[in-house]
Amino acid sequence: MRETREQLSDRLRLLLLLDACEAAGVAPIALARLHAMLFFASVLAPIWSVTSIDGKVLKDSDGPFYPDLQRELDRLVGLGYVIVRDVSYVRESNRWRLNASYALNTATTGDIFAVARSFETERRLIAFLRRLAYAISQSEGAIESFVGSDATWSDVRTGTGDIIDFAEWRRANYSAYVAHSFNDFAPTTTGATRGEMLQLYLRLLERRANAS
Amino acid sequence: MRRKGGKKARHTLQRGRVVSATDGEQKRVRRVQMFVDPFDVNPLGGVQPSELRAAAFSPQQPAAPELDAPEFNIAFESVTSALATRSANVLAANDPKLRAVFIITDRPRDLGEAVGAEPELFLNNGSRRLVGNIWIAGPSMSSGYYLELLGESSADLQQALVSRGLGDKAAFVFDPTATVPELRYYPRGVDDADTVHRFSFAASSFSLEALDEIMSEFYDDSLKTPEAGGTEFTPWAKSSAYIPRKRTEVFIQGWLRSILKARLRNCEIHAEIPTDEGRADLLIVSKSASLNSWIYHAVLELKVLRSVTSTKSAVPPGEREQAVCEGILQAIAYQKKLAPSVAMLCCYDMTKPEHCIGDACFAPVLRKAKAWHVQLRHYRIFGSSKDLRNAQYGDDSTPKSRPRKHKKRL
Repeated sequence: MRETREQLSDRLRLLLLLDACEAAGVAPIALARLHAMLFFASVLAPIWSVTSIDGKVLKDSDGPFYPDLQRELDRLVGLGYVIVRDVSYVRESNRWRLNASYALNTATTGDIFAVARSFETERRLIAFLRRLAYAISQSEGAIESFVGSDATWSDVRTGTGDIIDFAEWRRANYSAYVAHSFNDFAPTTTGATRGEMLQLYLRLLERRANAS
Repeated sequence: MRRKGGKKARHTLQRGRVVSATDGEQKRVRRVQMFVDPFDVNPLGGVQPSELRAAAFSPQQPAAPELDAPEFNIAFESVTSALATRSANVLAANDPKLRAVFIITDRPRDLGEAVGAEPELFLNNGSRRLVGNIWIAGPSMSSGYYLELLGESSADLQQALVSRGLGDKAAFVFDPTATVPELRYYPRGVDDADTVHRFSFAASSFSLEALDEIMSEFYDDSLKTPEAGGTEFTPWAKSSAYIPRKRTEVFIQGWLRSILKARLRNCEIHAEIPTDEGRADLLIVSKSASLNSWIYHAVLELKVLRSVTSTKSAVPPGEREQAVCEGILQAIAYQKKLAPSVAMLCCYDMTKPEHCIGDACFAPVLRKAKAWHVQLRHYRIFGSSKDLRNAQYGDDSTPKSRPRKHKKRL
């Protein structure tokens, strides 16, 4: 079967995300956490001047889930680039869901990263995803529990079961706006680094999640 | 790394005028245009404005590393932060005086499992004793793997690493047994024990004397001669020809920030903060939690004096003098705006021996500096140890006599 460019692009992004998880020491990563990271990588990408992985997401009561990316992740497992562990089934809202943890197969992916690093766009994406993973690894609490506190996800103007379009057809990325707003509280009220914006935003989510 | 507004402001200052180039309202408008629809009545989505301030001023332990930095600086800041957080824990008083090894890798799981290390979930929150162990972790050091480090001698340490196949891995070694606790970095592992970079780990409270001491140590350990820094930390592209590396100011600033952060543990170090009057290269602040505001301790304006650029173009003497004159104006502008305890102009002098005039580089600005209480510091960076010896003992040493006459007076 011939793969489309989008499918290959999705696979590369997934591998880069798993690389970031390895570097941050949070691998293997459980399914729900992986999709939460994909969500945060999408909404916070503009802070690092990187294109969002996906500009929309279904606001599901179980949290974000990207079916296209999951399909490609399963293919990466089949191709031997990703290792799957702790496979189990969990019951959620009268349905069964497959649960597993994923990790990079570093023995087979070295050449892919060597090629990816030769491109400026991929280098920027690697830098962003690693820093996001570093920031997430320092948070107290599971990142999937922060999704409900996210500025874009928790906006009441989008109901559960609707599509949150924050960068596909609309400009409604409240998460990036809030992260960027930390500039107003930096010394001299003029500037926070991109790293500070990421860390402060996750600290905000942590506080909100703990308060709820 | 930084926003356009700051650059514009810097140009404005270089022309010698102090004007308001950016303000909060303009930034807010730009932010709206970037991320949300301009007609969106609630651009904060589900977040309340009061929550932002609370998060921005909430204390954080351990101190987070600056993520907008090279991975090595992130690793260095994470290691020093983890050690500092542990030393702040009351249980640390019972920690034995043993060394700790930190192997920072982007594949901690692979390496940890390969050498049979035990996983540890809480590595940087101060709860875990760090000394007496070999740690394998990623640059953020939030979790990792550990092996027990048996023996107290340096030979035991080397043997423990080599026998596990870790002798060639880049490693930080924390030594609390030294007179002044120190962190050593072996970029090629302990297999090449001669290639080592030393950092003092003594905690300091902010004062002008402490700042001077830290900056002098950083200069001696990392910048003074090419050998001081080693290949990992050199500010040079080709030291023998006095060709500095690209963006030398950013390189020095990044390292100075990491070092200051490791030593001044009650302070936060902010780099290249754009202000209305230009750019502060380093800002030392602390949070006033009760007032939700900042206490400004020091503003450091960093200037690099060169004979040639990184692209090997010659730099005329007038340009070096201009850099010093601009530096003092910037330091004064920051002092007027932020009112820090200390405003300092630091010149890192990378000129060839025949171009170096030592402290006399400050001659055109002495009067201004005295009037505005700006501290002046000159750090001579030598292209070789031979030039250092010549400067200290030889005939062609750096002139320390009368400063040459300058036409331009500020």
